[in-house]
Amino acid sequence: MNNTTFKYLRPISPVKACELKDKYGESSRFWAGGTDLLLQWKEDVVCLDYCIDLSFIPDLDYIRKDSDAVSIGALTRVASIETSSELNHSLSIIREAAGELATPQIRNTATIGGNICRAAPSADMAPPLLVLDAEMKFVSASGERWVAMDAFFLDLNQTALEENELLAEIKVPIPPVETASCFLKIGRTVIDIAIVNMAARMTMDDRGILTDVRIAFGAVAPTPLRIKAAEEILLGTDVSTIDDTLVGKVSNKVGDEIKPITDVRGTAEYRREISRVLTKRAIENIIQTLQGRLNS
Amino acid sequence: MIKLKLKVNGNIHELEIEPHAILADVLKKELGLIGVRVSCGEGECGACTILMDGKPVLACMMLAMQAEGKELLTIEGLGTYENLHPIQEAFVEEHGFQCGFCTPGIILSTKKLLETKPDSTPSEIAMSLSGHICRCGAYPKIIKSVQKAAKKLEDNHGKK
Repeated sequence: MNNTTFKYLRPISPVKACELKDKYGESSRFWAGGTDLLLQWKEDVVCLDYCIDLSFIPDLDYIRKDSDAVSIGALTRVASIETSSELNHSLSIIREAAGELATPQIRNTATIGGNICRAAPSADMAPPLLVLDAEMKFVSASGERWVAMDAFFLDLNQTALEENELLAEIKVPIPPVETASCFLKIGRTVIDIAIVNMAARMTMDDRGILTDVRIAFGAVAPTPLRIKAAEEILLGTDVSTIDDTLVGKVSNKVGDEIKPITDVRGTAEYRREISRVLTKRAIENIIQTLQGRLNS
Repeated sequence: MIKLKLKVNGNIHELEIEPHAILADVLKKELGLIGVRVSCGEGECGACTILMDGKPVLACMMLAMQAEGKELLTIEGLGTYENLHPIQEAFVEEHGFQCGFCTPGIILSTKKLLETKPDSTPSEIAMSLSGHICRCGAYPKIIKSVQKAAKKLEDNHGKK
């Protein structure tokens, strides 16, 4: 591969963008913020003959809240998410993850859709969206469909998006009031790609029984993923009875389920150990919040 | 080649560029704005930071075409040698640099920070400048410079 140049296309609506994708297929790529794609193109990691620049589509840059969900346009800048007052309570982990993604300058350019669609194992926006049961809206020239975030990542750098589809919106349901959540990231520096990132979210009923448990990790497998076997251990338990033994059991399960690799940022062993520690921290943080609510 | 209309430091430029041309290269090579520094070229160092619609972005990490219709500000548009901007004065007075290579970007990020949160604490200043690397290690003096700039801007504002 040897990239020299490409044709530049500038659609002004999602449908127009999809029509161009239909026309040029695999020789074209959607270009959102471009902070990652530009590097990949310069380094000949990706090849494209046609750059479909999405920067001039105004319709996909929004954060809207209604009674049961917050909807985020796929072209919303990470910096806009970081400062959005709509993302509060248990949705604030989306804001926290945005605030820890790369540098302020990158956050002013990069989009949430780009971070997700790139499908890097370490994508900071992925764990919060996984634990909050986000729904992804795909559009194409012929229509639209919805895909659960849990079914979005297929493999390293591969998503459920078909060649002719564009991610248009991420819809995050607002969880019940008795919910607490947590986002944690370990990086070499505040601006670096995650060595491990994770999010957890738990919902309890009025007696303190956990009715919903989500634990998701990034940078420890080919894709960001939920650790369902660990979630199941906690599901149905009473928040007032969760002790160190149970927390230890959950964190060991996380350690067993993940498949970390060794790279420049950390060894597989280190990632496994950190994942156990983060699981403990997240559960303790969430349980403390939920217990406080139960007692108030 | 492709046509591009770019608004930089208040001036509109009509250019013909390669479609894949990177914004930093166009600003430096086509417009001669050498205050846009390119060091790593891969979004790590922050030397190429400019303001786009008032927000710091990396000119090395985007296509020039993506900047069409936006208001761009480089260090050349902030102050002149004879008439420095108060932030520039503060960096000179507090020695907020050694070699100066990273300084244009840091000053532009500072502009945005002080517009958003003029009373930033040293740790908030450090976080907001986390996308800038100073290889001379002038960080403590950079933070002092930003604090002095905040004071200067506040004093100026009081005079109006």
